[in-house]
Amino acid sequence: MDKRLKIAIIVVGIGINIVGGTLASALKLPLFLDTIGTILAAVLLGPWLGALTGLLSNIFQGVVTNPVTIPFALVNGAVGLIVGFIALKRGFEDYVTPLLVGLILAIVAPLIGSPIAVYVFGGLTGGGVDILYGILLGSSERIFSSAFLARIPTNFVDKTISAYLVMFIVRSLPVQWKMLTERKNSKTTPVE
Amino acid sequence: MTEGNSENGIMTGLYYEGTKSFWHRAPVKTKLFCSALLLLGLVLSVNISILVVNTLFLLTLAVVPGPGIALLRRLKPFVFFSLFIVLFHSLLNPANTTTWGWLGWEGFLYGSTVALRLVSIVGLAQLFLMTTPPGVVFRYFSSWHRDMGLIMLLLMGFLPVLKEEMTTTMQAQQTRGLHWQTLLERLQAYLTMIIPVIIKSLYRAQGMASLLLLRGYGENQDVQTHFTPAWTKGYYWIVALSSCFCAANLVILLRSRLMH
Repeated sequence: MDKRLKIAIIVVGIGINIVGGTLASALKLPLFLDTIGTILAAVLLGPWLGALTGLLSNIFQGVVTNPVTIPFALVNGAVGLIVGFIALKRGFEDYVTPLLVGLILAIVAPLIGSPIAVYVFGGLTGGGVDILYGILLGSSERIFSSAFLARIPTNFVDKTISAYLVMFIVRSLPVQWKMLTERKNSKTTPVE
Repeated sequence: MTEGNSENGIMTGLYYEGTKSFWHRAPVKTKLFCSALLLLGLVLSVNISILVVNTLFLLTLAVVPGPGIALLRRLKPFVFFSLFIVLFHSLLNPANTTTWGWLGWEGFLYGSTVALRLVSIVGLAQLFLMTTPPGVVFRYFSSWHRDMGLIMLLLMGFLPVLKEEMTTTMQAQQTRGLHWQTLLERLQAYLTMIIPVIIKSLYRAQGMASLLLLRGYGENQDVQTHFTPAWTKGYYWIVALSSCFCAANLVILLRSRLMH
């Protein structure tokens, strides 16, 4: 596929990540919703460019607004990688795959994010999750596992909503866009 | 929306123009290299007393030859958050055994370590970003990989457009009666606003790709201007100082590990 279109989709994906995250906090939603662009780019371009989209969006935000988002680039990159591989394997147009993506990312994203959050912020976020973290810390006696468990519910809802959103968008895209990655179980037959 | 500052439509990010300090004049490659060394040294800090010394050293190095008081002002929200971290861990850290009333000593030490480290990391990042405009940082990326710099620079132009589109969509949907009070309504409002923006920006991606094609991107490698960052004389001492800082912390760490 055209290299220039790939670059443009990465740019747009990063833009969607940033605007999505800003809108979520402007509406005071208890979710991040800052990986929609990464998921979209990973479905359209494959795992590696999806990971690049995730990495670069956190780096961009770090340079322009808030430097502490840079370490979490690893989480966003991993989201791109995982979604990309799942989309290659299963396609991204059925109702099961986004749920599967949500379930896997609900575990993997906090698994990478919590050590970073514990190291840099002592596990705190400055938001509502801190209450749950405090309760878990009081009962489980472990810093890492409390920070990890406290992040699972938010991440599950967050990533599942993002994945379903991307699924509905990908379904309604024209056929040329869907052929950006080759899929095994695609319902639409590729037309040259 | 709080995303970035811009002046005459050009994104200035965290760049601080108040002074033209030593750090402002230093070349971007030197600054990035020094920041990396200083960060590594900071991460290697072995215990809290060393960390206090390191934090003071880094803040002095950032403030005196750098943007001055303006940098400390940027750190203010992080200082408050750090105090919250210290308080949280003093109250709830599971390692607390020595306690005074509700507060525990071990948690206090843990919280203070994290808080000092956070302030130093943010101070270092602010030092680099307050003295380097985002455009220069992203152009430096293109010396690693051409396309990476291009993506970031395109994004700098694209993001204001995307925000404008977001505002337009928000106003259009509000005219159609969109409102958000409860949590479910807010989520619905989010979806009704983000979906049109995503679709429109995908159209824009196509336009952006044809623009790149029209300007001959990817056709002739010689047309593009290459940015080759260089080391500049007169800034070697700061590299040496950063290396010493990193090495000193490494030595202290190794010594304490070998003693035990």
